[in-house]
Amino acid sequence: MIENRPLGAFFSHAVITTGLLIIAFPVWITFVAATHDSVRVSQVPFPLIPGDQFFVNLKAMFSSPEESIGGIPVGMMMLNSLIMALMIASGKIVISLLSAFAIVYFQFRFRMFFFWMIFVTLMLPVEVRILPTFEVVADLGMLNSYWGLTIPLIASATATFMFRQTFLAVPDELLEAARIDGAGPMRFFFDILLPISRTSIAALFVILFIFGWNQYLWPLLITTDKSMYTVVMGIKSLLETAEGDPAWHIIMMTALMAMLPPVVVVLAMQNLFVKGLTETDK
Amino acid sequence: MTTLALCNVVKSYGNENVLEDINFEVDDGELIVIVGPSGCGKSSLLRMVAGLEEITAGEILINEKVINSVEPRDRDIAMVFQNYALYPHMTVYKNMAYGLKLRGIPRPEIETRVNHTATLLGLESLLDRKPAALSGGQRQRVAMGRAIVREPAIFLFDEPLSNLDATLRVRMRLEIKELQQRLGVTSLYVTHDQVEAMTLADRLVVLNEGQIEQIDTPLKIYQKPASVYVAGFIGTPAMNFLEGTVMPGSADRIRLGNGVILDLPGLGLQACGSINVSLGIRPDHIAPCSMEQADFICLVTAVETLGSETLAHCALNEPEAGEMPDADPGKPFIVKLNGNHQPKIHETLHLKVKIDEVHLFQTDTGLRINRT
Repeated sequence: MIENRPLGAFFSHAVITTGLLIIAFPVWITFVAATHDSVRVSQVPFPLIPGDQFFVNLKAMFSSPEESIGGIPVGMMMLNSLIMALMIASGKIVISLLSAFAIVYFQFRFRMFFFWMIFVTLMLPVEVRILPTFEVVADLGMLNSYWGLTIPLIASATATFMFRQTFLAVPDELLEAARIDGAGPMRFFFDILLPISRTSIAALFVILFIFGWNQYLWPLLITTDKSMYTVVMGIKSLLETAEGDPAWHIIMMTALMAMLPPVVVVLAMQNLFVKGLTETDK
Repeated sequence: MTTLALCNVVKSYGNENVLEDINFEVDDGELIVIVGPSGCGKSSLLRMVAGLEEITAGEILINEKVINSVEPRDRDIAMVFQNYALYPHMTVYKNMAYGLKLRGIPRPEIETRVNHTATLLGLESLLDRKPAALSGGQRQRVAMGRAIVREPAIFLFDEPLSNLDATLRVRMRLEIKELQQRLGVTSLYVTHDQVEAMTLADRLVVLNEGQIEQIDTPLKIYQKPASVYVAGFIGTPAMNFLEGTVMPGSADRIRLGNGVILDLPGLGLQACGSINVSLGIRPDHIAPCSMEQADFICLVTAVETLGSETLAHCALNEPEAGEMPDADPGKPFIVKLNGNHQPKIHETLHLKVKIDEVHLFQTDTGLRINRT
């Protein structure tokens, strides 16, 4: 349907633009704050035009941690975040692929029971089971380690459920053709099923990477050693300076840096992401 | 030599028997078509031969070995699916080579075999394409190629043409037939389309509700259908059926429900009392004639013009009575007329039946009564 109503067009554009401004404004403020020096940032009124200190602040953020962030280099935190996000995303994908494969393609006792058990864990995110989970991780000696940061977050009902739907949409004849061609279950999994689920895997990777990157509460609990801090929780610790005002220009620069990897992942995998979520024809 | 044999094969889901006591043999190089309406169990039968479904009872033998519990890959079969089941992420070449690769055949040999098959099917220029970039007919051909390249003992076809449009279906039908004869591979072909079945088959297996109604060559099945079911299923337009009884005392004479009396020489039914029969007359075996010669008089209720011929749907009445019956839309009596003959609706037709071509069936069993 093609509509040609100037007033309607104007109105819908107005709504879209307003929404966009509401979302983009804080990001803009962050960017502006990251381009001024500490004095200008704490003045009122707050500047809305970018300053010329961007590269100075960038350099300061990476080079002088002791001055600004209580001794944690931002580069190190970014690396921790990256490792954590990658481990969570790939761990979730591997586990979910395998469990969905088992549930869809194998007939075994209590199959549906297991499926519903996995499904029920949707109702138990980390925040709900945080104390027992912490207890387990502490007892296993995984505090202040990448394993402790990631393993409790890996088991994933959403991804299992999504892969189950993907696999159910694969025509049975493909499996049958593969069986006649001589492929065993794992051959079928690697040669046929994985390649045709490629777009779904990519879409999930994007979502899970951002989920992992943005983890705040769990890293806060599990890491006491500063060398294991992640950038999202690190930003918070930047505020806790013993004397003087927080270094807002550096904090904002760090926040800007923390936003960057998810943006890069989304941009790089945009095509696959959209296909993976919309494509129904296998 | 017998390549495939089914002995007392039964398939049931729970308590319900889908296939009962299936017995037939397929000779080397033969193309057997299994035909029947949807839900008659024909696909289950094929999938049991392929090893994709379990056999509840009985035995299936390939090359004289029982293969009931043999994995599909070890049965020496290849299958062409209705939706082709091509691997969407692989090129045509890889689709065809995949089965060979898994069998550990050396790469140079795979290459020669795939290229040879591609030439055979005219797929050389498409080898680097993926299935999504192919037309329906081309996909169908790749699916065939994937089967051929394996050089199996038996081809299994599961309604391979039903996803194609009508023109392409006719062309591929001929192509499959020609290819099968050239390669001389034993084939089992499942379809619900009786025209496809007739044109392709060396022998036809007509399946109905899980049981074999008749196994024979297409022509024999057309000329001498073993039961009412086969008679009604094979041939378009479908055979007309009239109910009647053998007249007590005169073995060759039949009285139809509407009062018409037909003489069928050579029937020789020794009737003690009256036997109920169904009379089957193909639309081709009725011709218009003069009023004196007429076996039937009928009223035209609908006309289908096909160009080369005209199909007249009629309501029957006895020749003597003056009044016309109401048209019975549930059970039309179809007459095939010359293409130039265009009767009007409500026109009266005088019809003569070719007595030699009339089929007789027992009403209660549905089985054929042979005439001498």
